[in-house]
Amino acid sequence: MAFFVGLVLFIGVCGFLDSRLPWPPRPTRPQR
Amino acid sequence: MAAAANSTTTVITGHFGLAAGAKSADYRAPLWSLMLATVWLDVVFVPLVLLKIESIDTPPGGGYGTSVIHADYTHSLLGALILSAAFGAVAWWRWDRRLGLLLGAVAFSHWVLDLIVHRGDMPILPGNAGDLPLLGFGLWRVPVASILVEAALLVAGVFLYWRAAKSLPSQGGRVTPSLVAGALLLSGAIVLTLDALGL
Repeated sequence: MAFFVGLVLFIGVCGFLDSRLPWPPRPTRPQR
Repeated sequence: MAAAANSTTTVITGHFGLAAGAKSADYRAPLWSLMLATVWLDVVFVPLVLLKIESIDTPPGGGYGTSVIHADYTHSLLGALILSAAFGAVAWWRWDRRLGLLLGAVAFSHWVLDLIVHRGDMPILPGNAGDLPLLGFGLWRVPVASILVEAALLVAGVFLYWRAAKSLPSQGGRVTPSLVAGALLLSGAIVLTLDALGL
């Protein structure tokens, strides 16, 4: 259970909160 | 083909802590992708368990470090390299080379951390082909030490994340670096507690 709780908390919750911070933008693939 | 490798479960919080710290290596890497990368081998392990290709056994009563996994493919050295390269390749294709290399390295860090705790039971080749020597330094024999290492990785990783986030220009939003760092620490405390209780 700890593993799946970890997925939810770290990827879901913390990942969402991280996306709210003003990090530099991710690179985008060049259009071909 | 040799018998399946036996190993105890499992570092969870330590992997996530390392991933949080890896954010400081490239601020553009979204945290979710680092978190996914760090447990990628275990994520692939889950469907293989459902398919009965790999397995996990927990003795009656359970407890921290008492489960036994048979992960001869996802956690073999070559298997981990292939899975990590695949993860990094997708990130390279989706974003760029630098993020691909970072996420591939974070994915492979899973095998390195597991190597520290496993009891000489991680195969080199998938399925332990060739009966080569099994790997693992066996820190799991001292559960308290393993838990302390996981906690230390979490704290160090979150500190690196927090320091990186604090360097960003303030936008005055409700989500602050300290809030995210606090969420990371709380998440780690919850998961490590569950893990230590064998849940």
